Amino acid sequence: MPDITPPKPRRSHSLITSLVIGLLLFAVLSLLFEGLYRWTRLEGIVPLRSVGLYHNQFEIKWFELQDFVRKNGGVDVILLGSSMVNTGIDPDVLAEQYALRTGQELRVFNFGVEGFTISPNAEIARLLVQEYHPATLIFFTEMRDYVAANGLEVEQQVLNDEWLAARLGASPSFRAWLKDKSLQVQHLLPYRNWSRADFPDTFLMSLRRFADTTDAGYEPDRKTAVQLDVPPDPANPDDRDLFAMFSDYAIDPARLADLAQIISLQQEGTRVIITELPLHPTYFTYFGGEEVHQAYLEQLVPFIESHAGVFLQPLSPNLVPPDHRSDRFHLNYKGAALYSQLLADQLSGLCQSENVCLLFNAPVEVAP
Amino acid sequence: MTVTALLFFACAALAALVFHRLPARFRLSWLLLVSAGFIATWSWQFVLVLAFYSGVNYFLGLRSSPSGSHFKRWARAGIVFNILFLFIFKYSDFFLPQFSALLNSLGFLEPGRVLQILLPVGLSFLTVQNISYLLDVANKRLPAETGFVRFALYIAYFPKLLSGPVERARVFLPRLAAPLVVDRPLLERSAALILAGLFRKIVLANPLFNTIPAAAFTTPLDYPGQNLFFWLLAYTFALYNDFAGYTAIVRGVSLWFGIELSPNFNLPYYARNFTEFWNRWHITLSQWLRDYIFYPLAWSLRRRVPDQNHWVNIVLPPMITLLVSGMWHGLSWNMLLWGGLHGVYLVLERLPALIKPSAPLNKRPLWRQRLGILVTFILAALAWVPFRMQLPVAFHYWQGLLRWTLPDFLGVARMLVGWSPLSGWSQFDLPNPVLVLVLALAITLDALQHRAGSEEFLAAWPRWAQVLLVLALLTAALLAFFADTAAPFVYQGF
Repeated sequence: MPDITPPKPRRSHSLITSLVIGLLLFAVLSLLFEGLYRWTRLEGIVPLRSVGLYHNQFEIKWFELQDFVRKNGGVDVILLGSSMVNTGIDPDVLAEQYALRTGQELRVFNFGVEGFTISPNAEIARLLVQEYHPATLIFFTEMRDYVAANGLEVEQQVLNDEWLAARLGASPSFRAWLKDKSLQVQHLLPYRNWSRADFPDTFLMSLRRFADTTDAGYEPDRKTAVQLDVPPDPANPDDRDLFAMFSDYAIDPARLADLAQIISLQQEGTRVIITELPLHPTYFTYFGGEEVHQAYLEQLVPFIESHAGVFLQPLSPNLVPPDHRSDRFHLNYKGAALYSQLLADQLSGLCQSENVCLLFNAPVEVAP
Repeated sequence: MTVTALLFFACAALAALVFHRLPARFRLSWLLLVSAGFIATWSWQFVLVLAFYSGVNYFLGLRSSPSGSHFKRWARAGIVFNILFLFIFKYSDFFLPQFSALLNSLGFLEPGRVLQILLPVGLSFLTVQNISYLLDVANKRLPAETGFVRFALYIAYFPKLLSGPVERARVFLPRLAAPLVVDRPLLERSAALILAGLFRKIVLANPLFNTIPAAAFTTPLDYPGQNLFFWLLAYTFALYNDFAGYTAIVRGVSLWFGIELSPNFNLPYYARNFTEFWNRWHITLSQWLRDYIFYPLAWSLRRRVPDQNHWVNIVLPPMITLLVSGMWHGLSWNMLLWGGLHGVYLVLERLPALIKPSAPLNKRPLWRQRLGILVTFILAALAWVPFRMQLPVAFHYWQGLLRWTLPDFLGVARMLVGWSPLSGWSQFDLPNPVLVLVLALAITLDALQHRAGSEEFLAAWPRWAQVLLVLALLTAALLAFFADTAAPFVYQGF
């Protein structure tokens, strides 16, 4: 006999009710995660954090510094500059060597960020001094910092960022406020571009950089330079853009004003020391040779001194063997270890000869 | 204001609340005012342009009524006016530089300055709606609309303004005349449509578009074939979910006012042949093309060449109809190629019937139906290449699809187990895992809708699944709120 039972109608659920439940549940889960991030150490499991800045290395440094200060009770010396600082100085080696020479224990953090010229760094310096009041800020500068057209894209991206603008004093938008205040949002933001074509690349890169960066902000570079003694060639496509940018070298007054802004942070109670990393001699070929470098220093040093800043003479490049470099600009991990010691010696010498010493700082409160 | 913005929903909800509080005689005027406000969020000049456009078409409609003299001439004049109007605004890039140069040389325009015209939103959609209105009035299928407010609403009703659906006046105007009542079942339907639409746009379409690097559509030969293959799949599903998502949202919002808008999509990638595809993809435009181009052309040709198997009757109606469809999307060689390809598909599909009458689709063996779905999908996807790219690049893309390379599976494995450092993903020549995931989600959603047999299939889901959908939507929306890019609706550009 055929089955004549009518099919059981599928039960329909009110979507409006589900929408309300979903919204409420979303709100509850948001609060729950916010609490978990605030009162537990969930960062260990979910390591990356972000404030929505497009520059993920800055964010790694920003949160590493927060953790560093929380862990150590403050920061005495912040090393500021570009990628050359990021890979070129190991703060732990520097602190150890400085303690060996002077007996002074210091908490040193490397805030070198790839692609940052003096313009964004002037603002970042202000932010760091405002937040952490380090006793000393060592800013590593070089000739490229003062070329008006250099690093403009990074500069605009960073300085136009809503979170940074709010941190620097502008009134925050709702989005900027959330980025700054909510730990849950900060843990969600590394995935904000999850659907972008370049996300797998940038995310893996962020994870790697986060894993490679030490607690003191140093990111070792494992490459070793080859054929460093062959000077760059304007006919070489790899060098062409750099020659076009730097061969007609002139210091831009606006960039000098940025330097003056960094030095002026001394009025906030932070000593500012300016110096230059030991660049490979062929680096200066882009600018027209060592003579142009000397002319640059002759203009820069009096400017720093006239603003009551301290300039630490760059070390001789010959002190760094070629296999301690990863290219013409950067030191590798061996170079970083060596230079950090040499810099500590130079700084301790400065302390002994001119009484310009690196000081231990008062503890700083860090918001969760 | 885009239709996925929170502000859009808030304003529409407020407008709906006021709408239902007003006495019936003021409701349509209120809706027209709201629509004008919506247009003004794009540009206040558009309000003036559309007021003029509506006024002229209202007048032309009255004159095209068969009760008057020379009504056919008025209707023809109306069609010419609408096409010219579209041409002036949409294709101004072709003639404005030359016209500006002429004005420059005559001294009427400062040297170096070029005139610019802002394209009113949704103009292509408005043009076809007005043409059908004038033709219907002239052919006695519809009396000319005498109420200006009702007619202006037919043009500018805000949910359908940007990208349709392409409503027929004979369907839409009677809906305005009927009592506009909203009850709980209608609100449930609205919620089902809006949720599905938002999910299609925010969770599926936008991410799928984003996973395709811009360079894939300019220098495709720089990439291995397998990546081009996945990006084409992503584009194919993104375009569909983008437009279907948009349509579902605006239909859902329109229900708040008690006004039903026509459906535009019915699982097009489940079509078993191209005739069915065009009954499932952008349905309202396809029906417009069928009724106002295909049928009149086919009848006209049959009068001249009575043999229905003559090549003229087999080839010309579908080819010309689909070429017009291509031109409607954009006056460019690549759009013509896209339309032409679909025309060829339709012609080829009709050829076997010349030898032996084909069985209706539902009567064919299941394997043939499934094979039909696969072949139709592949050919439709290949045709999206010229839809998206300029011509030389489109040819390169097709060429690139054949150049597969062996992905570096070993490299990925080494990285995943930690034997090599974490590095970029693109070096492995493998598709973006996010793309694959979202693609799988898009296919699953369509499969669920197919199984349920209804576009309001979400209503039949268990509660936990509905809540999960809402949570996924909110999370994607939150991420999109903080993301560095935003994707507009593709069909808003037409």
